[in-house]
Amino acid sequence: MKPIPKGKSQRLRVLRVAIAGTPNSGKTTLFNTLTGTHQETGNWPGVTVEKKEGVFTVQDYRVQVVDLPGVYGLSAYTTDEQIARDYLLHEHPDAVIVVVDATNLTQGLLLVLQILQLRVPTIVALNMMDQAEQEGLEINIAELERFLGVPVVPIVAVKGRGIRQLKERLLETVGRVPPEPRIPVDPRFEEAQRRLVRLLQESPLAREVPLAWLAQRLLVEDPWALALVQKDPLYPQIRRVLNETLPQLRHHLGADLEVYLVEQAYALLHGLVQRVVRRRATLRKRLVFTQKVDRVLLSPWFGLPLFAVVMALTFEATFQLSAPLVDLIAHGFDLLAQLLRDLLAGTPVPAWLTSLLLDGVLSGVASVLTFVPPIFLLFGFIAFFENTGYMARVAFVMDRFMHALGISGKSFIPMVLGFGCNVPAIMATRTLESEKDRLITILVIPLMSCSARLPVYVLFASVFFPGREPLVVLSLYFLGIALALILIKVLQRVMFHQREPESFVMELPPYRMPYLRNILLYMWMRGRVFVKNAGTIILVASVVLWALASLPPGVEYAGPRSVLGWIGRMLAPLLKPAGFGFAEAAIALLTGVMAKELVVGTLGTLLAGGSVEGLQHALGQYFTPLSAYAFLVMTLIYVPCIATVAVIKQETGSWKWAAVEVAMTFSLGYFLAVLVYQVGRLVL
Amino acid sequence: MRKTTVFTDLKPLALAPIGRPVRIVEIVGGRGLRNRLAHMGLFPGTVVVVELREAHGPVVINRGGTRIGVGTGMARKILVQPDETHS
Ligand SMILES: Nc1nc2c(ncn2[C@@H]2O[C@H](COP(=O)(O)OP(=O)(O)OP(=O)(O)O)[C@@H](O)[C@H]2O)c(=O)[nH]1
Ligand SMILES: [Mg+2]
Repeated sequence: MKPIPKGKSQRLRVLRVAIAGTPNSGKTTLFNTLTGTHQETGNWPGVTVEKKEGVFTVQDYRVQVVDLPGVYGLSAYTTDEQIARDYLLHEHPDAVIVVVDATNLTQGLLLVLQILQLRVPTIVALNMMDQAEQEGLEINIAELERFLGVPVVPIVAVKGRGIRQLKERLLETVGRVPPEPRIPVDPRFEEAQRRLVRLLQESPLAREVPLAWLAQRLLVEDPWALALVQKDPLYPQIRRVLNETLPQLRHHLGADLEVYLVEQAYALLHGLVQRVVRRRATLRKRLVFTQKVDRVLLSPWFGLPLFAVVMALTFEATFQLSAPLVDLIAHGFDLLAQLLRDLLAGTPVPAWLTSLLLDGVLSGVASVLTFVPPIFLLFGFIAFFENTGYMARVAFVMDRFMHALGISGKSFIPMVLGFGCNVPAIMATRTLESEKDRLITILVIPLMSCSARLPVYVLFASVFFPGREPLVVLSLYFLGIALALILIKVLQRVMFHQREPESFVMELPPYRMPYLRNILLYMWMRGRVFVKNAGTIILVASVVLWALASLPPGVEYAGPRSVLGWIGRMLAPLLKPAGFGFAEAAIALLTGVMAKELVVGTLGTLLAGGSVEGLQHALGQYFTPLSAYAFLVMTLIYVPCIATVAVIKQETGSWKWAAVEVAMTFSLGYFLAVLVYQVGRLVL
Repeated sequence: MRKTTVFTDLKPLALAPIGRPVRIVEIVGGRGLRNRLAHMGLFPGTVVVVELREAHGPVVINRGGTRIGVGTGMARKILVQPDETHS
């Protein structure tokens, strides 16, 4: 036996608790309120759905919480539903907290009923009570508790109201299997269900899943349930019962028995809500206000231009506000590097080690940190727009256009964010419901010209196309967009053989004033994940790059005799068909993988010893306008920067998709650059 | 006689009149779609009002005070007819 550790931890019992609820009911807010910053984010195994886990302590318990994906039911038609169902069924949590939006009781309780059928200890957190009060809703909590047979605790997750009671009553809930919900269904259905339960009692499945629920799932011909009993020795008898009863049930209750059950539950809850909710001669003001605003925001004539303006201002604000900070960080690190260099010069530390520390590690840290201010700010703006309810409207307005592409309107927002920075854009795809849409959106975002590519465009355009710079720059932006749209179609065909476009139904919540705390926490959590995961990869990459640029010992940094220079010379012939077949271009592109704006810096160092005017002059000797344009096309498309690659790995949970992305963009970029150059030579 | 009028009135939500109650008659789609709509409280027989609609675009419907955005694709699969009992 293991020795019991002494001290306080000896008494801490571990509880495992899941938070479930409908989308947007406030699960994540509650999760954050409970765990603070003691949380980890990752993915559920094998899928691109976010998994959040955290801990908090209450009395003598250490409670491990997991934030389940938002679902309307447990029928498992979507990945999210499968995750939630599998977790509740197979992981046997000590309790589940079901978050119910008090302003939308019926829908929330529908999920509660379905979870009660799984016989997991359950407690209901009745959230958004502040909103309910504002709307003049009075909810009889005691009556609700009597009806459900489980604790119901009113809370306001954003303000932390009711959290103490929730924690206390959570402890009461643990180990208490709730009563089975009684949804009135046709006696014939009940009889068929009883027959199946009797049969299944003999089966080993009886110890794994609640039988009444399994029987119900069999009667609605849930493919998952059917697969589960297929291996059972009783399968022939089960099949016979189904064959005997189903035609009759369908005849009487409608072809889709699943919809029949949901409708029965809805009717039951409708009656309940009538009894427990009193609507004081209401303030319907907010609804009316929302309807008025929506008339404007949801019309393409106003909604789209407005969105364009909003995004332009957002990017402008993000970069204006973060520029001084980025400068400060960059200068600070330059100073620090200088200082350390002087310090180390007088010591026996070998020069290569100094260089590793300063040019490799320190500059890697610096490049991670310079990403931080814009990314945090952009996350802040995203959180703001999401929390007000505006993002749902944008998705709605864009739907008709995105529908033509076969993708839901919800993919539009992350794509637009890509113009600011690909990294937060890819992280913003977490709001997409369909996993297919999410993966496709992640893979096309790098084609959106992020702000780091702009300096490269501007430099080349000013040297080779004076007077027509805006045209050149815009053409590159549009090229990226066009490629993204084509790629969406291609990926759908190739990866998913998808015919039907994804579509959505979503509630359009009333506009809400966001809470600062929520926004800050969102910024912090998202930003932290970036620094931790992507930051590590960037750091490693920058050390590797340093090694390539400064080995073998004694060579000039990134000079022609370094490994990097050698690789550049090897690659140069490959780039010849694109019109820029010289080592410096290849090296610049290689360093651009670290961050695209480095393309300019590297060219400056290699071609002009670091001077800007010198570079402008030198470029003219190496490039023609045509090859310059081909080079820009290459810069736009070839390989996303390392931070983006890292974040693709982080969000899809596997290196596979990151590798697919690199291979795909590299071949596409190379192909198009060659195409531009070769066709251009023929035409011009 | 009545039946024929009913069926000529049947149209997708994407083409339903704005501001008048309509009754959902049929949902043309797979189990997943029907189930998803059922969980939003949208069954055959449910009465909703179209609040906003753009030609060939998505639709906003109001079901007893809850506002629901229905995407372009789905709005074509939900068949409705005018609801006489409520008008
Ligand atoms: N007024 C008010 N707003 C709340 C409350 N709890 C959450 N919200 C807001 O409701 C919105 C949705 O909250 P989330 O915590 O993201 O909801 P969720 O259930 O995690 O949503 P999904 O993960 O998308 O399913 C956010 O804008 C929150 O700020 C509350 O008690 N009162
Ligand atoms: Mg959430």
